[in-house]
Amino acid sequence: MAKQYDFLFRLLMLGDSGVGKTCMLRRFTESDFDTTHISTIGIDFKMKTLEVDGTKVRVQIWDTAGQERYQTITKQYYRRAQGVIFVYDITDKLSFKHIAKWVSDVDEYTTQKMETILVGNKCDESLRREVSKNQGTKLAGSYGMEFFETSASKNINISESFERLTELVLQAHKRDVDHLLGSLDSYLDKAGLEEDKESTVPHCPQRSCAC
Amino acid sequence: MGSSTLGKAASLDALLNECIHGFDDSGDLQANPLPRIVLLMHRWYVTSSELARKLLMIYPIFGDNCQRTRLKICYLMRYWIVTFPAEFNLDLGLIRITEEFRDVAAQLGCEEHFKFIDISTIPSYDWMRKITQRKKQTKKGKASLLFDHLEPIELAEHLTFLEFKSIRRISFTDYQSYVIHGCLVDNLTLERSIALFNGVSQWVQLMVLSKLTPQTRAEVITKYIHVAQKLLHLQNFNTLMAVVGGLSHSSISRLKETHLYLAPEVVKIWNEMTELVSSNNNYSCYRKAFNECQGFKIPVLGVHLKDLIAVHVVFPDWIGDGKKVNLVKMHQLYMTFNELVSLQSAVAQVEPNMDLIYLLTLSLDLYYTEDEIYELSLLREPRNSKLPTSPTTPNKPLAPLDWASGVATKPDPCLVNKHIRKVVDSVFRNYDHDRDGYISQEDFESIAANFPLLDSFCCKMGPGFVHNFQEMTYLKPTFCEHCAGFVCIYNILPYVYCGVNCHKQCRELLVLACRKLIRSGSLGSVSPVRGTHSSLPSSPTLPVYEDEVFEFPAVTPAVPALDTQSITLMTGSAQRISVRLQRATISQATQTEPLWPEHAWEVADSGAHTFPKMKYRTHRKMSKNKGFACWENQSGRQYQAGSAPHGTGSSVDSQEKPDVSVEHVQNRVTHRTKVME
Repeated sequence: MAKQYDFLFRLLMLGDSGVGKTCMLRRFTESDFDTTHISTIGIDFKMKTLEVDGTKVRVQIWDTAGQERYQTITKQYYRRAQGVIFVYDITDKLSFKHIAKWVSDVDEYTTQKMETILVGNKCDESLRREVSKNQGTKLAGSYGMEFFETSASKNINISESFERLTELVLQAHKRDVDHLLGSLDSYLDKAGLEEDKESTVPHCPQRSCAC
Repeated sequence: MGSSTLGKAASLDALLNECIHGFDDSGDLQANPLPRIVLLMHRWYVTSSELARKLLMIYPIFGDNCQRTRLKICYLMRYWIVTFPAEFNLDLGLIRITEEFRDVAAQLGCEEHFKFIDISTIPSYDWMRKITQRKKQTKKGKASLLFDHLEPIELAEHLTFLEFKSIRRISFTDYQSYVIHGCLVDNLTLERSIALFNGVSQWVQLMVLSKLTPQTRAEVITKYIHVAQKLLHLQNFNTLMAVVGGLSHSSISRLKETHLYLAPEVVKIWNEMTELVSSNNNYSCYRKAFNECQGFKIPVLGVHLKDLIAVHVVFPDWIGDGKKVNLVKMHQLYMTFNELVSLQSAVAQVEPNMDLIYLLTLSLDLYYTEDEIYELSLLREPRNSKLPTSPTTPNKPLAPLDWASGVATKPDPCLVNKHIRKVVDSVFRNYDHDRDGYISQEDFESIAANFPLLDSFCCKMGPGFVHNFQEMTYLKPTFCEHCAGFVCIYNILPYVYCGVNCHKQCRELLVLACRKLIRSGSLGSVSPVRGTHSSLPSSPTLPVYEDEVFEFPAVTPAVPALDTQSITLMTGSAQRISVRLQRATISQATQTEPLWPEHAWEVADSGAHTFPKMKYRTHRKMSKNKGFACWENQSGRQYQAGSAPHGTGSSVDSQEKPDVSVEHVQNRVTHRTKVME
C-alpha cells in the first residue's frame, strides 16, 4: 500500500495536569477519531494528516495526560519528538509558572532539535483569567517561541497552533536535510545541528489570537 | 452491558431496574456483568447513599404480589455488600441507609430479606483511610540489610509489597477526582503512590551513580535488570516501569563507560524490558502483556490514568437532557476502574521481612531534583571533552525553585522521621548482636552504604538569621530541625547551630530559638557549668567533656575541603566521635552556594560511602544503658534522654567493647565561638 503522506512527524504536548492537553488533542483530531475502536489499546487520538505547502504531513501527537507526575514516564516521550506544544491554563497561574520547568526539562533531556510553541489554553474563561495574554506573549518571546491562546471547548486557535507547529517542524526538517546533503561527515553534521538550533529559533512576532 | 436492552444511554432508575432483574429467583446473576458495573461506577454519577436511597425507595412499592421483585432488590443489596464491602465499612451515609433498609425489611415482615442486608460481618477497612499502615512485627528473623547482599528476588518482592500496599489504598473517588480535576490536592493516596514510583526511579539511578567505577556501576545496573525481570515475574508492572524508567533515564543511559561492562545477555534483557514498557503504540506491548497475566498483577498506574482521562475527555457523562447516563462511557471507564479497584481485594503473595521493608521505604524517601542526579552522572563520567558540548546545556534557563512544591512531591518530614526510626530499630535488631545498644563501626559503614547521598532533602534557600554554624558529619540518622528532614548519615555536611541540627540548605531558614539555653538546662544534671557557651572551641569549658573534644592534629588528606570544619561522627544511637579540625567555625552560608557542594562529592569519591577517613581517638566513655539501643530522638528532642547516663558513663563498659570506636560528645555547645553579627 502506498504511503498516504510524505512525512511523519511526532509532536508532544507538555504542561501540568489539568491544563486541557487532552481536550485540545481531542478537538484537533475530532474528525479522525473513531470512538468504536477504543477497547483494546485504550484511547489514543494522535494521528492526523495535514497538508502544508502542498506536502502531506502525518502528525502523531503524544499526550502525557495523567502521567505528568511520573517523571520517568514523561521522559520516554521526549526522545523522539520533533515538536513540542507547551500548554498552560490561563486560569491557573501555577501552570504558567511551571512552563519554565517543562521547557528546561525538554532542553536537558532531548538531544535532538525540537521545534516548540507555547499555548495558553482555556482562553474562553476570561472571568477566571489569572495569566494575561501579555504575560504569555512575553514568556514565549523569552524562549523564542510563537504563542497562541486557545480554547478547546470553543475551538479557538486549536488547529492553528497544531498546524503552525507542524509547519515549523517541516521547515526545520527541510533545513536538516539540506545540511545532511551538504556534509556526510557525522561530526560536522552534529555540529551543524547544534548551530542550527542557535540560529534558527524563530523570533517571529507573536501571533495574535482571536479571542 | 451484555444482553441489556438499554442501548447507549439510560437513566439511573432504568439501570437499577435492569440490575434488579438481572438476578433470578434464587439470587443467581448468571454472569450478568451489569450489576457489578453499575455498583462500581455509580459513584461517577451519584453518591452511594443516593443509589442506596433509590433502592430503599422502590423496595416497599412492590406490594405482596411483587415479593419476587423485593427479593431481587435484596439480592442486589447483598451483592453490593459482598462485592464492595469497603464502601459499607467506610461510607457513613451508606451505612445509615443500609440500616434503614434493614428496618424497613423487618417492618414489612420479610425475615428472609432481612438477613441479606447484613453488614455486621464486614471486616474493618480502616486501613484505606490511613495513609500508612502499621504492621505488627511478626518475624524476628535476622536479615541482611546490605544492598549488595540482597537478591534481586528479595528486592523485587519487597518492592512489590510496598507497591501493593500503596496502590490498594487509592480509592475510586481518589482516581475520579484526579481524572476530573487533574490535581492531587487532597488526594494523598495517589500522591503517595506517585511519590513511591518516582522514588524507585531515583533510587535506581542513585544506587548506580553511587558507585565509583564503571565496573561496579555495571554490577548495580545488572542487579536492577534482574530485579526488573523478577518484577515482571511477579506481575508488578508499575514498579517494573519505575525501575526501567530509572535505568533508561539519561543520567544512566549516558554512562558509556559503564555500559561497556554490561554482559550482552544483560543488555538484551534490558532492551526487552524497555520495549515492554515503552510508550509505542500507546503502550501496546505492556497492554498485551498485562492482559495476558492471570491472578495478582499490578498495572502501570500512569498508563491507566491516561486512559481514564482520555475517556473522560472524549465522552460526555450524560446524554440527552442530562437525565441519561452515557453507557458507552460508563463501560469504558469501568474497564479501567475494574483493573485498578480489584487490587483492593487482592492478597499480596509476599510475606515481607519488615526490617527490609523499613530499609527500602527509607531508601525511597528521596527527593532529588533531576538536575542534581544529572550533575552526579556528569561527575561520574564527565562529558567527553573531545566532542563539542551542546551549546544549550550551559545556558539553559534555570527552573524556578518552587517547581518542586508544585509538581514533585517532597516527602513528608514526619513520615521520613518515622521511617528513619524504623530503620534504626531494624538495624539494631539485626546488627546489634549482643543487644547492648551498639553496633560495630564496620557494620555501620556497610549499612550506611545503603543510603548513598540520602541527605539532600532540599530546602529552599532564603533570607534568615545569621548563625554560628559548624559543619558536622553524622554517622547517625539525624533530623534537620528546620524542615524535619533527614540530615544524613555520613559524609555530606549538615550544620549544627547551637545544638540545633539542620541542613546546610536550611540553616538560613532556621527560625528556632537558640537552643543552647534549653539544652544546657536539660544537661544541667551532668554539667552545671554548661552555661558558658561562649567558650572557644579549643577550650571547652566543661571538664566533663574536655577529653571528649580534642584537637584534630592534622588535616586528613582525604578530605582537604573540610579542613576548616569540625566533624562529628556518630555511630550507634547516641554516640559520636568528635573531631575538631583547625577552625571550628564556618558560617555565613551563601545563598549562591550550590545545594550539592562539590567537595561533598569528592568526599564521597574518596570515602566510598563512608565518612571521611580520619584518625580519631577512641573515647572509652560509654554507658551500657539499654535505652541507647533505641532511637535517641524518641523523647522528642535529641540527646536529652541519653545525655545523663552518657556523661556519667563508666569506663568499664567501654573496655568490654573494644570494637566500638565511638563516644558520646556533647560538643556542640562548646563550639559556639564567633557569633556572626
